[in-house]
Amino acid sequence: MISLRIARRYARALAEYTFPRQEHEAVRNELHALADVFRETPWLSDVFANPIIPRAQKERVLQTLIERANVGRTTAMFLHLLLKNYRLPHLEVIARAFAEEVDRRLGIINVEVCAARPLREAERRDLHRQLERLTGKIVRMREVVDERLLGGIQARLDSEVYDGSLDARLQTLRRQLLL
Amino acid sequence: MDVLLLNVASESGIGGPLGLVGSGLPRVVNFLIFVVVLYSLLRKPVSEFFRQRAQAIARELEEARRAREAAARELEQTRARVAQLDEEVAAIRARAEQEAEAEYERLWREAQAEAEKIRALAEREIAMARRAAELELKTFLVERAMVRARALLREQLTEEDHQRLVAQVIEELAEVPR
Repeated sequence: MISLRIARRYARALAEYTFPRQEHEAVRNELHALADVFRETPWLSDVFANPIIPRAQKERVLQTLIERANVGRTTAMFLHLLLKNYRLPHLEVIARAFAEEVDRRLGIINVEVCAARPLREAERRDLHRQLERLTGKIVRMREVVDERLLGGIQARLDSEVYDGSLDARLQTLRRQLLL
Repeated sequence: MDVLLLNVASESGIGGPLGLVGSGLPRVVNFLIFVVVLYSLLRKPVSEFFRQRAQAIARELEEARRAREAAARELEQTRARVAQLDEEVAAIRARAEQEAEAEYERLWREAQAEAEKIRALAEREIAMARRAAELELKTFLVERAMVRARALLREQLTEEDHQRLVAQVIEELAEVPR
């Protein structure tokens, strides 16, 4: 498995190239789609990782993939670069790192909100506003209904978690009782 | 010698014409000569013998006297030692008693210290076991209470409660500084 540090290095380089050309969204979407293809077709990574298969043959497979996926020139170039550097089998990690890099440069933060039941529109809007105020960034909120939760909500922002669930309160009460 | 003298007397005719002389005198003379000769021959060695014998006896007497004196001294010393023996025995006994008492004290102190250590250790272990048991019981009760609380909450929470909880979280987030 490729290290996250290397993936981020590729992601930063691609962002440096795509942002001035305003291609970052398109490239991100294309890479995301291709990463999905790689995930759903495991033998594809095996082909590109196999040192016995000649480079020319891998180039042909990649070209076919590029044509079928109908990706842009920048994405195609990037994929060829990854193939040349033997990093193509790690496309999923690199695509994810690039998406994070794009979000970072755009000031977007991904927040996963877990709730015991679907939020009402007003709740969603208020929560979104408070999260944006708190982070100072554009919040991309992903809502997950987790029926294991008793009530309240949990918001995960990268490495931070705001746990306002009833479960967390019960856990706090449990800790206090056990002291 | 005796035979020789008798022969000489017989051959010289002494005691022949004189009956008495002829029968006894030569013998007496012979005997006297014999005595004289014997005396002259033996006087020196015998006197030397007796002198040496006397000296030896005197020496032995002297040695016996010295030995007797030494024995007397030894006896005196032994008597004195025997006289001191009781004191020594008493002193040894007193010292042995003191040492035994000191040893007893030391052993008693050590035993008490050891007993104290064992008691302290036992108390610590009892305290730890008690704390562990209390914690176990407490944990059990708290866990049971949590399970019960979760079941009750899941059963009794209404939509309004959910809304209130979410609103509360949003309010709390609003109070968090940037």
